[in-house]
Amino acid sequence: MSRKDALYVAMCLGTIAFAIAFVYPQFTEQAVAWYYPLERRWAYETRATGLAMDFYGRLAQGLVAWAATVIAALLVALRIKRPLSERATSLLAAWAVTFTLLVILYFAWNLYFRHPTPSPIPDWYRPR
Amino acid sequence: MPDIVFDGAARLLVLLHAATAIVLVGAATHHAVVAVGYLRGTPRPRLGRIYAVVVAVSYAVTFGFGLLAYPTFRYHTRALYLDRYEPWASNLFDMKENFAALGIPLVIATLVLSRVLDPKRDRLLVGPYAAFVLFTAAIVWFDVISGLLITMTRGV
Repeated sequence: MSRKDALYVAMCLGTIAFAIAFVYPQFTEQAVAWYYPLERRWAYETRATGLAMDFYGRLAQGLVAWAATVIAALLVALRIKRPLSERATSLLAAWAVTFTLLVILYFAWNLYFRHPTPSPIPDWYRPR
Repeated sequence: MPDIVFDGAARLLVLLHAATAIVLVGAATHHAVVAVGYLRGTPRPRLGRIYAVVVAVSYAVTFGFGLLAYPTFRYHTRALYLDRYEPWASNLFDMKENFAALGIPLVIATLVLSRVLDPKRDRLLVGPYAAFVLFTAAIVWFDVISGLLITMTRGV
Protein backbone atom coordinates (compact mmCIF):
# COMPACT_ATOMS: atom_id res chain seq x y z
CA MET A 1 0.00 0.00 0.00
CA SER A 2 1.34 3.47 -0.87
CA ARG A 3 2.19 6.01 1.85
CA LYS A 4 -0.76 8.09 0.67
CA ASP A 5 -3.22 5.20 1.02
CA ALA A 6 -1.74 4.25 4.40
CA LEU A 7 -2.25 7.81 5.66
CA TYR A 8 -5.81 7.76 4.37
CA VAL A 9 -6.58 4.46 6.14
CA ALA A 10 -5.00 5.76 9.36
CA MET A 11 -6.98 9.00 9.27
CA CYS A 12 -10.30 7.21 8.68
CA LEU A 13 -9.70 4.63 11.43
CA GLY A 14 -8.44 7.37 13.77
CA THR A 15 -11.66 9.33 13.21
CA ILE A 16 -13.74 6.28 14.10
CA ALA A 17 -11.61 5.56 17.20
CA PHE A 18 -11.93 9.16 18.39
CA ALA A 19 -15.72 9.16 18.01
CA ILE A 20 -16.10 5.89 19.94
CA ALA A 21 -13.65 6.79 22.74
CA PHE A 22 -15.18 10.27 23.11
CA VAL A 23 -18.76 9.09 23.54
CA TYR A 24 -18.14 5.77 25.33
CA PRO A 25 -18.08 7.16 28.92
CA GLN A 26 -21.44 8.82 28.28
CA PHE A 27 -23.43 5.60 28.27
CA THR A 28 -21.22 3.21 30.24
CA GLU A 29 -19.81 3.11 33.75
CA GLN A 30 -16.32 3.77 32.49
CA ALA A 31 -14.31 6.16 34.71
CA VAL A 32 -12.96 9.33 33.13
CA ALA A 33 -11.06 12.41 34.34
CA TRP A 34 -13.45 15.01 35.79
CA TYR A 35 -12.47 18.61 36.51
CA TYR A 36 -14.05 20.37 39.49
CA PRO A 37 -13.78 24.10 38.63
CA LEU A 38 -14.83 25.39 42.07
CA GLU A 39 -12.30 23.23 43.89
CA ARG A 40 -9.69 23.38 41.08
CA ARG A 41 -9.03 19.68 41.28
CA TRP A 42 -9.17 16.60 39.06
CA ALA A 43 -10.72 13.23 39.90
CA TYR A 44 -10.73 10.00 37.95
CA GLU A 45 -14.18 8.56 38.59
CA THR A 46 -17.34 7.21 37.01
CA ARG A 47 -19.75 9.88 38.26
CA ALA A 48 -19.18 13.40 39.50
CA THR A 49 -19.98 14.31 43.09
CA GLY A 50 -20.63 18.02 42.55
CA LEU A 51 -20.18 20.66 39.89
CA ALA A 52 -17.72 18.99 37.52
CA MET A 53 -16.83 18.74 33.85
CA ASP A 54 -15.99 15.53 32.03
CA PHE A 55 -15.34 17.22 28.69
CA TYR A 56 -11.58 17.51 29.18
CA GLY A 57 -11.34 13.86 30.23
CA ARG A 58 -13.40 12.58 27.31
CA LEU A 59 -11.44 14.77 24.91
CA ALA A 60 -8.13 13.43 26.22
CA GLN A 61 -9.44 9.88 25.97
CA GLY A 62 -10.53 10.49 22.37
CA LEU A 63 -7.17 11.97 21.42
CA VAL A 64 -5.25 9.08 22.99
CA ALA A 65 -7.46 6.58 21.14
CA TRP A 66 -6.98 8.56 17.92
CA ALA A 67 -3.18 8.64 18.29
CA ALA A 68 -2.91 4.95 19.18
CA THR A 69 -5.16 3.94 16.28
CA VAL A 70 -3.35 6.15 13.75
CA ILE A 71 0.07 4.78 14.76
CA ALA A 72 -1.12 1.16 14.72
CA ALA A 73 -2.96 1.61 11.40
CA LEU A 74 0.08 3.23 9.78
CA LEU A 75 2.37 0.43 10.95
CA VAL A 76 0.04 -2.24 9.60
CA ALA A 77 -1.01 -0.47 6.38
CA LEU A 78 2.57 0.27 5.31
CA ARG A 79 3.37 -3.47 5.48
CA ILE A 80 0.46 -4.45 3.22
CA LYS A 81 1.66 -5.00 -0.34
CA ARG A 82 -1.70 -4.69 -2.13
CA PRO A 83 -3.02 -1.25 -3.13
CA LEU A 84 -6.16 0.02 -1.41
CA SER A 85 -9.21 -1.11 -3.36
CA GLU A 86 -11.92 1.25 -4.57
CA ARG A 87 -14.46 -0.50 -2.34
CA ALA A 88 -12.24 -0.19 0.78
CA THR A 89 -11.58 3.48 0.04
CA SER A 90 -15.30 4.27 -0.12
CA LEU A 91 -16.18 2.11 2.89
CA LEU A 92 -13.53 3.68 5.13
CA ALA A 93 -14.77 7.19 4.41
CA ALA A 94 -18.39 6.10 4.83
CA TRP A 95 -17.63 4.51 8.21
CA ALA A 96 -15.66 7.54 9.41
CA VAL A 97 -18.44 9.96 8.45
CA THR A 98 -21.20 7.65 9.74
CA PHE A 99 -19.57 7.07 13.15
CA THR A 100 -19.01 10.80 13.62
CA LEU A 101 -22.57 11.55 12.51
CA LEU A 102 -24.02 8.90 14.83
CA VAL A 103 -22.18 10.33 17.82
CA ILE A 104 -23.31 13.84 16.86
CA LEU A 105 -26.91 12.60 16.67
CA TYR A 106 -26.50 10.85 20.04
CA PHE A 107 -25.43 14.14 21.69
CA ALA A 108 -28.08 16.16 19.85
CA TRP A 109 -30.87 13.78 20.85
CA ASN A 110 -29.84 13.52 24.51
CA LEU A 111 -29.03 17.18 25.03
CA TYR A 112 -32.17 18.42 23.30
CA PHE A 113 -34.30 16.68 25.93
CA ARG A 114 -32.01 17.35 28.93
CA HIS A 115 -33.32 19.28 31.94
CA PRO A 116 -30.19 20.74 33.60
CA THR A 117 -30.12 21.20 37.37
CA PRO A 118 -29.02 24.73 38.30
CA SER A 119 -26.55 25.31 41.13
CA PRO A 120 -27.90 27.05 44.24
CA ILE A 121 -27.46 30.83 44.17
CA PRO A 122 -24.61 31.72 46.59
CA ASP A 123 -24.80 34.68 49.02
CA TRP A 124 -22.09 36.65 47.25
CA TYR A 125 -23.76 36.35 43.84
CA ARG A 126 -24.36 39.55 41.90
CA PRO A 127 -25.41 39.12 38.24
CA ARG A 128 -22.72 40.50 35.93
CA MET B 1 -16.52 33.95 45.68
CA PRO B 2 -14.89 30.82 44.22
CA ASP B 3 -11.42 31.09 42.70
CA ILE B 4 -11.96 29.62 39.22
CA VAL B 5 -8.99 29.21 36.91
CA PHE B 6 -8.68 32.03 34.29
CA ASP B 7 -11.79 33.71 35.74
CA GLY B 8 -10.23 37.17 35.51
CA ALA B 9 -9.31 36.68 31.85
CA ALA B 10 -12.52 34.93 30.80
CA ARG B 11 -13.98 37.84 28.81
CA LEU B 12 -10.70 38.39 26.97
CA LEU B 13 -10.48 34.65 26.26
CA VAL B 14 -14.02 34.56 24.85
CA LEU B 15 -13.27 37.66 22.75
CA LEU B 16 -10.18 35.93 21.32
CA HIS B 17 -12.26 32.74 20.90
CA ALA B 18 -14.75 34.74 18.79
CA ALA B 19 -12.02 36.54 16.81
CA THR B 20 -10.31 33.29 15.83
CA ALA B 21 -13.71 31.75 15.07
CA ILE B 22 -14.22 34.49 12.44
CA VAL B 23 -11.00 33.37 10.74
CA LEU B 24 -12.06 29.73 11.11
CA VAL B 25 -15.52 30.09 9.60
CA GLY B 26 -14.10 32.05 6.66
CA ALA B 27 -11.35 29.50 6.00
CA ALA B 28 -13.66 26.50 6.45
CA THR B 29 -16.19 27.98 4.00
CA HIS B 30 -13.51 28.76 1.41
CA HIS B 31 -12.07 25.27 1.88
CA ALA B 32 -15.53 23.81 1.27
CA VAL B 33 -15.82 25.79 -1.98
CA VAL B 34 -12.39 24.53 -3.07
CA ALA B 35 -13.39 20.93 -2.21
CA VAL B 36 -16.55 21.24 -4.32
CA GLY B 37 -14.24 22.37 -7.13
CA TYR B 38 -12.29 19.10 -6.67
CA LEU B 39 -15.55 17.17 -7.16
CA ARG B 40 -16.52 19.17 -10.23
CA GLY B 41 -13.15 18.64 -11.88
CA THR B 42 -11.86 22.17 -11.40
CA PRO B 43 -9.27 21.59 -8.66
CA ARG B 44 -7.08 24.27 -7.10
CA PRO B 45 -4.82 22.09 -4.93
CA ARG B 46 -2.50 24.88 -3.78
CA LEU B 47 -5.48 26.82 -2.44
CA GLY B 48 -6.80 23.62 -0.86
CA ARG B 49 -3.52 23.10 0.97
CA ILE B 50 -3.45 26.71 2.20
CA TYR B 51 -7.02 26.58 3.52
CA ALA B 52 -6.39 23.19 5.15
CA VAL B 53 -3.53 24.74 7.14
CA VAL B 54 -5.51 27.87 8.04
CA VAL B 55 -8.49 25.77 9.16
CA ALA B 56 -6.28 23.46 11.25
CA VAL B 57 -4.45 26.33 12.98
CA SER B 58 -7.56 28.47 13.57
CA TYR B 59 -9.54 25.41 14.74
CA ALA B 60 -6.82 24.54 17.28
CA VAL B 61 -6.51 28.13 18.53
CA THR B 62 -10.28 28.68 18.72
CA PHE B 63 -10.74 25.38 20.52
CA GLY B 64 -7.88 26.21 22.89
CA PHE B 65 -9.33 29.58 23.89
CA GLY B 66 -12.69 27.89 24.44
CA LEU B 67 -11.11 25.26 26.69
CA LEU B 68 -9.45 27.96 28.81
CA ALA B 69 -12.67 29.98 29.24
CA TYR B 70 -14.82 26.90 29.86
CA PRO B 71 -14.47 26.61 33.69
CA THR B 72 -15.70 30.21 34.17
CA PHE B 73 -18.56 29.65 31.74
CA ARG B 74 -19.47 26.36 33.39
CA TYR B 75 -20.06 27.97 36.76
CA HIS B 76 -20.85 31.68 36.37
CA THR B 77 -22.78 31.48 33.11
CA ARG B 78 -24.20 27.99 32.93
CA ALA B 79 -24.65 26.73 36.50
CA LEU B 80 -25.84 30.04 37.99
CA TYR B 81 -27.85 31.44 35.10
CA LEU B 82 -28.46 29.39 31.96
CA ASP B 83 -29.42 26.16 33.76
CA ARG B 84 -32.00 28.14 35.76
CA TYR B 85 -33.44 30.59 33.22
CA GLU B 86 -32.38 29.46 29.72
CA PRO B 87 -31.82 25.69 29.80
CA TRP B 88 -32.02 25.47 26.01
CA ALA B 89 -28.83 27.58 25.82
CA SER B 90 -27.06 25.24 28.27
CA ASN B 91 -28.01 22.29 26.11
CA LEU B 92 -27.04 24.09 22.91
CA PHE B 93 -23.64 24.90 24.41
CA ASP B 94 -22.99 21.26 25.28
CA MET B 95 -23.99 20.23 21.75
CA LYS B 96 -21.61 22.84 20.34
CA GLU B 97 -18.63 21.78 22.43
CA ASN B 98 -19.15 18.07 21.71
CA PHE B 99 -19.59 18.67 17.98
CA ALA B 100 -16.42 20.81 17.97
CA ALA B 101 -14.46 17.98 19.60
CA LEU B 102 -15.77 15.51 17.01
CA GLY B 103 -14.52 17.82 14.27
CA ILE B 104 -10.89 17.53 15.44
CA PRO B 105 -10.05 14.23 13.67
CA LEU B 106 -11.78 15.47 10.50
CA VAL B 107 -9.67 18.64 10.52
CA ILE B 108 -6.47 16.63 11.01
CA ALA B 109 -7.52 14.19 8.26
CA THR B 110 -8.14 17.00 5.76
CA LEU B 111 -4.84 18.64 6.70
CA VAL B 112 -2.91 15.38 6.18
CA LEU B 113 -4.75 14.46 2.96
CA SER B 114 -4.36 17.96 1.52
CA ARG B 115 -0.56 17.51 1.70
CA VAL B 116 -0.53 14.24 -0.28
CA LEU B 117 -3.62 14.45 -2.48
CA ASP B 118 -3.34 15.15 -6.20
CA PRO B 119 -6.98 15.78 -7.18
CA LYS B 120 -6.38 15.00 -10.87
CA ARG B 121 -4.73 11.61 -10.25
CA ASP B 122 -6.30 10.48 -6.96
CA ARG B 123 -9.93 10.57 -8.06
CA LEU B 124 -10.85 7.89 -5.51
CA LEU B 125 -9.71 10.04 -2.60
CA VAL B 126 -11.36 13.24 -3.80
CA GLY B 127 -14.84 12.22 -2.63
CA PRO B 128 -13.78 11.31 0.93
CA TYR B 129 -11.61 14.45 1.12
CA ALA B 130 -14.54 16.64 0.05
CA ALA B 131 -16.85 14.84 2.50
CA PHE B 132 -14.48 15.55 5.41
CA VAL B 133 -14.08 19.20 4.39
CA LEU B 134 -17.84 19.77 3.99
CA PHE B 135 -18.57 17.99 7.28
CA THR B 136 -16.02 20.18 9.05
CA ALA B 137 -17.54 23.33 7.52
CA ALA B 138 -21.01 22.25 8.70
CA ILE B 139 -19.73 21.73 12.26
CA VAL B 140 -17.97 25.10 12.22
CA TRP B 141 -21.07 26.94 10.98
CA PHE B 142 -23.26 25.22 13.56
CA ASP B 143 -20.81 26.11 16.32
CA VAL B 144 -20.44 29.75 15.26
CA ILE B 145 -24.22 30.31 15.08
CA SER B 146 -24.72 28.46 18.39
CA GLY B 147 -21.95 30.46 20.02
CA LEU B 148 -23.55 33.73 18.91
CA LEU B 149 -26.97 32.66 20.19
CA ILE B 150 -25.57 31.57 23.56
CA THR B 151 -23.49 34.71 23.99
CA MET B 152 -26.52 36.87 23.10
CA THR B 153 -28.42 35.06 25.86
CA ARG B 154 -25.66 35.29 28.48
CA GLY B 155 -21.92 35.84 28.21
CA VAL B 156 -19.18 35.08 30.76
